[in-house]
Amino acid sequence: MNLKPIMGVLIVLMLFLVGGCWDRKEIDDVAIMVAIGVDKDTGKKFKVFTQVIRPGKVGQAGSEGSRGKKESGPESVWVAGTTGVTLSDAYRRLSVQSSRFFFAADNQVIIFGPTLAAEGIAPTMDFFTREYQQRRRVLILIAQDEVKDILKGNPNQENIPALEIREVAMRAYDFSRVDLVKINDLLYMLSTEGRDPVVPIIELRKDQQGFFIQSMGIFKGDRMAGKLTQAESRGYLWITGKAQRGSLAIKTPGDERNFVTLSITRAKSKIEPLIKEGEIFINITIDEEAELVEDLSANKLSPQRFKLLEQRQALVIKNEALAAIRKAQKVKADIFGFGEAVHRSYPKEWRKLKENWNDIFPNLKVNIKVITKLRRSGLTYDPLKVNKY
Amino acid sequence: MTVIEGGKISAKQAGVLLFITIIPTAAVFLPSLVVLEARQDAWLAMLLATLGGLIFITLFNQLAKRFPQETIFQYATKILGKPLGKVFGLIFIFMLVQTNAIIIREFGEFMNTAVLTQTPLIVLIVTIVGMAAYTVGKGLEVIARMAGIIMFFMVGLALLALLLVFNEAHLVRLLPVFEYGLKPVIRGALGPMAWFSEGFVLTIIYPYVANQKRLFNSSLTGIGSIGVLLALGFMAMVSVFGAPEAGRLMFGNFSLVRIISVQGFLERLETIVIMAWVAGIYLKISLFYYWAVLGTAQYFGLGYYRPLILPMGVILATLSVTMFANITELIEHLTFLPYYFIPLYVVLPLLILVISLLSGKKGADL
Repeated sequence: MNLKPIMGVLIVLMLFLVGGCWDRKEIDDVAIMVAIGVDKDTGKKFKVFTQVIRPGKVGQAGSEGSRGKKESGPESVWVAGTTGVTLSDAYRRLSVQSSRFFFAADNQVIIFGPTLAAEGIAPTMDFFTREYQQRRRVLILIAQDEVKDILKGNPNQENIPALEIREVAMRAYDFSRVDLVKINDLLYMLSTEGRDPVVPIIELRKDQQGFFIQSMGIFKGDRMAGKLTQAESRGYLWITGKAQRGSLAIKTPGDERNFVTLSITRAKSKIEPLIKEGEIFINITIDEEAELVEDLSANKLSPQRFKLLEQRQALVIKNEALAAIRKAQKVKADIFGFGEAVHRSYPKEWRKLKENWNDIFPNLKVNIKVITKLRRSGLTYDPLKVNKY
Repeated sequence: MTVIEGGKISAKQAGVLLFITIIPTAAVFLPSLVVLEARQDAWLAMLLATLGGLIFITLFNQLAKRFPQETIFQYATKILGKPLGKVFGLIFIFMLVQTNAIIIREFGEFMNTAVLTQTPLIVLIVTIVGMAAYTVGKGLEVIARMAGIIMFFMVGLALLALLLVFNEAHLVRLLPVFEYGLKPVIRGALGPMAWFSEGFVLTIIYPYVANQKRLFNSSLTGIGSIGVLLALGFMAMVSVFGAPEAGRLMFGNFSLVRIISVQGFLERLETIVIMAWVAGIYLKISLFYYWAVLGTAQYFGLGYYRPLILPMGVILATLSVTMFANITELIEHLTFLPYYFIPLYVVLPLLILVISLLSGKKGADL
C-alpha cells in the first residue's frame, strides 16, 4: 500500500496545528477575570483591582436555591488590588499574586474610580485597546466612591457580582435611566470632534439594596466635570434618541394633586443644526410614544384628556431635556454631539467654529420640539370611582 | 521549448486566483493606511483605487494578449532584446520574492500580535512556508482548485461579518463626505493601488488559461469584487469606530469582527474568520512562491521548477525574518509600497507593452 500521499497530508495538517501549542491555555490554569477597577492614588500611581472567579465556589452558591445566611457575593469571587506606575504594571503585579494566569477576555465591566475620573481617563484607554485580550464591548462605569467597595459588593440575585453589575446597568438602560457606554463608545466620544463623553455612575447604597446605576458623569475631554441627575440623565437620553422604555409620572392637568403614570413605548430624536447669518441654532425634535399605565385621579378618559396628557407629557420631556442641556452648558461639555452635528452639516464652517467651540457651546440657542403620542390605556378604561355615601 | 507547467486552468479560476493574490493582506494591513489619509472617505478612496486596479488589469491583459503562449519572463527578452529583457526579468523575479517575503512577515506579525502571541515568529513563518512549498510542488491546477474552495469561505464569512456588524454601525459617521476635498481621498487610494499592482501576475497566469478570451472579464470581476468588499469593510469600520478611532487601529477589519455580538450569544467570531483568513494568506503565499519559482525556471531556461522550491523557500523564510526588525519597520515599509510597487509592477510592463506595440512584435497565437 502506498502511504506516501497520506503521510504528506498528515505532515501538512501537523504543520498547521502544532504552531499554536505555544499559546495553549488549559482551563484550570487560568483565572477568569470578570471585572476590573482602575483608580489613581494620591501619588501618580494607578490602583488596579480585579474581580476573579473562584471556580470552586460559583456552582455551590447557585445550587443552594434559597441562600439563607450564606453570602454568595464575596465567596464566589476574589477581589485583589495593587498599585503600579502603569496599568499593565499593576496588572502584572497582581498576576504575580495569583495561582493562575489572569484571563481578561471574559471581562464584563471596567469601573473607574472618582480620582482617576477627575484626573483624566484617557491614559487608561491605551491598555484597554492595545492589550489583545481586552474587548471593545466591555461596559464602562464610574464609581461614586471607592472602586474596591463596589467590586466587593454583594450581589442580590446573581452569583458573580460583575454579572449583576452588568445586568443592572442593562436594566437601567432599558428603563431610560442611563446610557450604556462600552469601551468602543467611550473611544468614539473621546476621539470625535465636537463631542464629549458621558459615563454612567455606579454606587453601592448603604442600605444594602445593591448596585445603583441611575446617574451619569459628564466629561470635559477625558476629565469628569459634572454629574447628570436622574432626570437630567433621561434628558440626555431624550436628546440623543436613546430613551427606550421606562415610566413618566406626571401631574394630571386639572387635578394637580394626583399623578398619572405613563409608560414610554418608543422614542427617537433628531438633532439638526442650522447656521443662519452667522448664528448657530440647534433644532431638536423628540418623537415619543407612550401608553397610560396608572391613573390616580378620578377623571374620565376621553380624547380631550388624552390630548391634555400628551401636552403635559411633552412639557415634562422638554424640561428634562432642557435641564440636561443647561447642566452640560454649565460645564462646557458638549455631551450631545451638537458640534459633531454641525461638523456633519457644515464641514466648512466647522473648521473655523471648532477652535472656539468651547465658548460657543455654552451659549448655543437650542430649540426643542417634542411630539408625544399617547396610544393605549391598558385593560381598564376609566379610573375606579369609590362609591361613597 | 520545454513545458514547465503543463496544467491549464479556466478563466474563472484565474479570476479567483487574482482575488486571492490581492485580498488576504489587503484586508488586514490596508485599513490603517487608508483611513489615516482619507478618514471617513476611506471607502471612496478604496473605490477610486479599484478604478486604478481595473486600469492596471486592462494594461496587463493587453500585454499578455500579444504573447498568449508565454509568460512575461519569456517574452521580455523577445521584445526588449536579450540584455535589457534579462534585466527586466530579474527585476520581476526579485519583486515577486520580495513581495512574498513581506506577505509572509505580515502573516507572522498579525498572528503574533493578535492570535498566537507566545509562538515564536520564526515557527509561524517556517510552518507557513513549508506548507506553501508543499502546495507549490503540486502545481497550478491544484492551487487553482483550492483557491475556489477557500475563496468561497472567505467571501462568505466576510459578507456574514459585514451583515452582523451592521447592528453596531452608525452610518451617519460617514459624513461629511469630501471634508478636505479630493486630495486626501487620492492619497488614501495610493495604498490600495499598490496592492492592485500585484495584478501584474496576470502576465504570468495568462498562458496557462484555457479560454483566454474570457479571462479579461473574469479578472475584472476579481478585482472589482475586491474593491467592493474592502470598500464595504471601510464603511463598516468608520461607521462602527468613527474615523479617528478607525485610523488608530492596527487591524481594522479584525477589530470589526471582534466587536460582533448577536444578542449576546453569538460572539468571538474572529476565530472562525481567522481560520478562513489563514487559509487565504497561505494560498497567497503559495501563489507568489509558485510564480517566483516558475519565473526563475523560465528565466534560466530550465526544464523543471521543482528543484527550485527548496532553495526558494529558504530564501523566502530568511528574507521575511531578517527584512524587518519589528512591526513599526514593517508598517513604515507598507506606507512606502506604492512608490516602488506601482513603478516596477505597472510602469515596467507598460513600457514593454509600448515597445512591443511600436516594434510590432507579437507571439504566436494558440
